[in-house]
Amino acid sequence: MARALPWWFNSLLLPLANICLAFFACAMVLWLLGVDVAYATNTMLDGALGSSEGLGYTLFYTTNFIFAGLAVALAWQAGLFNIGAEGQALIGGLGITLMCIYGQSLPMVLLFPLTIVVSALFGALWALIPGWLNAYRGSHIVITTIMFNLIASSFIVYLLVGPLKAPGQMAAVSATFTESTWLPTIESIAWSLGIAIDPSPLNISFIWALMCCAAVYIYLWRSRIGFETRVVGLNARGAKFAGIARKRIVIITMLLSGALAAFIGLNEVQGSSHQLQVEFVSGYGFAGIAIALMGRNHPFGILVASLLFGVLYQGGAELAFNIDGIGNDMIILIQALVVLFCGALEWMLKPSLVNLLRLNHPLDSKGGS
Amino acid sequence: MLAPALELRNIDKAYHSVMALNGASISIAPGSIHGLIGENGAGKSSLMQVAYGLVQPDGGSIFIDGAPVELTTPLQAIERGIGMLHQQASWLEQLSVFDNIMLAEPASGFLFQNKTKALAKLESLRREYGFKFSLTTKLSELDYSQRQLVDVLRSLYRGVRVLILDEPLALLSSTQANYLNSLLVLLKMQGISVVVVSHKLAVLHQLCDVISVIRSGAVTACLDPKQVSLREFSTHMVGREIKLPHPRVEPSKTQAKTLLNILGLGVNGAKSGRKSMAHPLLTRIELSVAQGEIVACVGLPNAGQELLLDVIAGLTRFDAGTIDLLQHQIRVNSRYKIKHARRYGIAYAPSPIFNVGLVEQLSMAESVYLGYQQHGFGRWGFASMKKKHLQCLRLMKDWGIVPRLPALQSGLFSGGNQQKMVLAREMSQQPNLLLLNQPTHGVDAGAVETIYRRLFGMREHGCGILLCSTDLDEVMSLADKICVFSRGRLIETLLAKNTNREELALLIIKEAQHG
Repeated sequence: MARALPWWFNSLLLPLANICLAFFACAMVLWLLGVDVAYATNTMLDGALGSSEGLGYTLFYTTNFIFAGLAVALAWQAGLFNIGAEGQALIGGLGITLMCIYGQSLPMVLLFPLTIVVSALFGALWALIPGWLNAYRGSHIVITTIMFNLIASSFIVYLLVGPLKAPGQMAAVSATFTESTWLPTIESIAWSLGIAIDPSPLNISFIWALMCCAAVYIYLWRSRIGFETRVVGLNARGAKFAGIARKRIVIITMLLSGALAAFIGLNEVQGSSHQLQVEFVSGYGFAGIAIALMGRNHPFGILVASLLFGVLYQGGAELAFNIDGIGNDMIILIQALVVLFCGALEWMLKPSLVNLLRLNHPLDSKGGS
Repeated sequence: MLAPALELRNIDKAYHSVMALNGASISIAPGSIHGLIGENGAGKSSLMQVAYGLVQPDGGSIFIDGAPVELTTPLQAIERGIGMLHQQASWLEQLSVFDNIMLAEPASGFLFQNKTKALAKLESLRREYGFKFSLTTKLSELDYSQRQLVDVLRSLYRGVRVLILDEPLALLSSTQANYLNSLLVLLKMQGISVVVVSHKLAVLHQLCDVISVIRSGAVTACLDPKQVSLREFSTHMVGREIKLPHPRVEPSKTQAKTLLNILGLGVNGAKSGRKSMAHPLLTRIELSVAQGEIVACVGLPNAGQELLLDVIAGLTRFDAGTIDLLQHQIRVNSRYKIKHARRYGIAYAPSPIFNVGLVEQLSMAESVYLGYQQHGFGRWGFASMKKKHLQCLRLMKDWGIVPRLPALQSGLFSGGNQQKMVLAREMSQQPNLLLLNQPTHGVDAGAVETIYRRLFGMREHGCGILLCSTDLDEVMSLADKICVFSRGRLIETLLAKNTNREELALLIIKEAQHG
């Protein structure tokens, strides 16, 4: 008598097994390099989770990954592969910079919502052009969004060596914002509540990221427009029959996706560096693709994947700092292995695990037709 | 006695805790035509997918020529001489018949296929079995039932010994069934066994050497059509007697008020982007549907009747003429889309062959609102999942859709049950005008009876129904008025009571030949 697979198999056991395999591969590489694996693991975990400072940095990076992952996943649900999160985040950062320079007299309770709106607007408008080109002119979204990344970064470089350049500075950065526009850090909030934690750039945009996760979930699985978005992504002809205007959905989805990507700037620009820098996105937009893949395009999956990436990022930095012979390349290698085993090879272990646990459930193939 | 060409013994298979097959056994004798019938969701397709290696059974064994085998992939099944035609096959439309067949063939030499040899072999097979298409024809130029015949040719080329036909479309069309019959007899004479899965009881009764009945996942009877009457078959299948063909019900009153009035409607071929169609797709169509009237459109495939439904439903633009629906006037330049059609009270159940009425990956509960999103979500655009589930459960209960699990993906339901859900959704909107394309394809005879009863009920309430069907028995049972299409023209409008099935079939074929 056959049983269906228990629910925890696909959503807990399999990802866990994949992660273990990825870490095992990382350990092998470290071992081959002659590094003490136990010490390295300890350094990494301790660096990422062992102190309030390390945890703060981990969650700070997690915030970026959540925004990027959500941006990619939301577009993916409509069948759009938005790899332009990088550029949308840059332009969003520009919006934040303008807001922080020209709105510096506003109180934080007003400024924070306003920067959210303005950055969303900037990111959304940057994503609108590829979206419109796709909906009305049939341009391929991958090509246009990647081109828009290049345009965005050139544009920001132009602004930062020209109009927005901080006076008396050699580097291509904007002026540092006045301190009243900086997003409150979690540390300062905790301090005002009488809890002492070590300083880290973790700020209130982390809470905004968590709210975005919940909002994206409700949008996609509870709202009418989210339902229509998923139908467009699943079956374009079915969507036409259901009377759903694909063009409209593409435009709306790209706007929202661009807005989510733009929020990376909240965390990085307004929350941490307090000035616009050329390279502030530094690959988060592309990491969003891997995170969306690992998180199965689901907000809660993305939250978990972002946490994992946050740990890897912060722990990896500690590793590079503490152990000779390990540089930033190693961190990228570890990330790549995690993406490989958890994303690209996600079903690899399934048959053997099923046999191992004697769940006796043959592969569900519904006949490729 | 010879060992059976294919034998399945005590096959079990469960999907998501639902038992699709429960100890099913079937034995196919060499060189026989074996029918397989059963209600929707009884397990016919599942059993055949096990035989073709598409689905791995949870228990049971498979024998070919008496020897036990294990079929874990279709490739293994093909190598052992088992071929299958699918309900929804996939072809590469821009390639020729020959290329489509060769696509899946392994290279004979180091890298390349020996195409000259293959071409000669295929050509001789084509002649031997009398396939009407040429090997160089592009698939896009063939209709769906002919495309399935391409699959038959492919199976023959691979040296098939047991051919499984799951709901062959040619059987659906009254005009093409004859050709399929003679083809099957030819196959039988070559010692090839054929398994036909279908709901066309009458056709199977005539054609098959033996018919197996499957009920709730087990084969409950194996009968000889020569000794068992058609009536008894339906009893075996659904547990009660079904009159075949389904009896006509005349409308109790005639209503004069016109619901839909189409004048001079035309659709240009070129604009729709179909280059192979030199002539217009629809020309000067004049058609009207009154309240409480069932109008059937018949014709060969691609004669325009199905396109007409798409035009009325707002899925395809038209280039000439007018459509008046109650007080709404639809013109060439009015931006008329399917959402407007629904607002005007049109419900449309598209052909199950095209797979657009449902989105496979959505749950059944979500599918209930596909096309009717405004009802599924509250004032603020957000849904209560509970409400969706209850609504879905109600439809499932009313329409006998199994398994009764609203959270299950719609693509996991059997073809007939999916179609029932599409009909349930569209008919529960209480439309003014109901458009149906192949409404009962893949639906079992018992459920067809219920569907007809519901359609007659809707007619009594003043709903107009416009349907396309290739099944002339269906047309004769349902229609009050019949429109015959040929090459994009409406060539004849008949009253159903003044004609009969044979006359209709003759008309369709004759007009097509004259062109």
